[in-house]
Amino acid sequence: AKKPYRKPEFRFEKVFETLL
Amino acid sequence: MSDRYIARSSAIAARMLGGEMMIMSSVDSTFYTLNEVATVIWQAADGRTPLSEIVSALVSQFEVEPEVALRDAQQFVDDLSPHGILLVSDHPIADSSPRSAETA
Repeated sequence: AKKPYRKPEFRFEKVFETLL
Repeated sequence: MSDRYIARSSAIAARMLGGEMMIMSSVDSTFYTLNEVATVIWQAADGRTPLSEIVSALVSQFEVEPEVALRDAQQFVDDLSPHGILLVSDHPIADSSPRSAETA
């Protein structure tokens, strides 16, 4: 059985700003 | 259409977590998270496997039509490559990622 497909996507964030 | 080759940058650290790939760029300390399908593309990005072949692997693993998978993969590559962690070329890319897809 094949797995459900989701459009390949990425998200990103600047670590310095997160380490707010 | 000519085939494209993609390779992971060596200036990153990556780790798989919960089916998603977490990537840290050592260039600008940006933290990336790829979803499951994007992770499959990322892991196959060895610089020697053409994108069309990577898409074939996607089609064999996921419920998706080849045309859709190819279009989405090309879009993903076009979106991610400007960030500098994924290299793209019309020719095989040598020695861009000497270590494994998941690095410490």
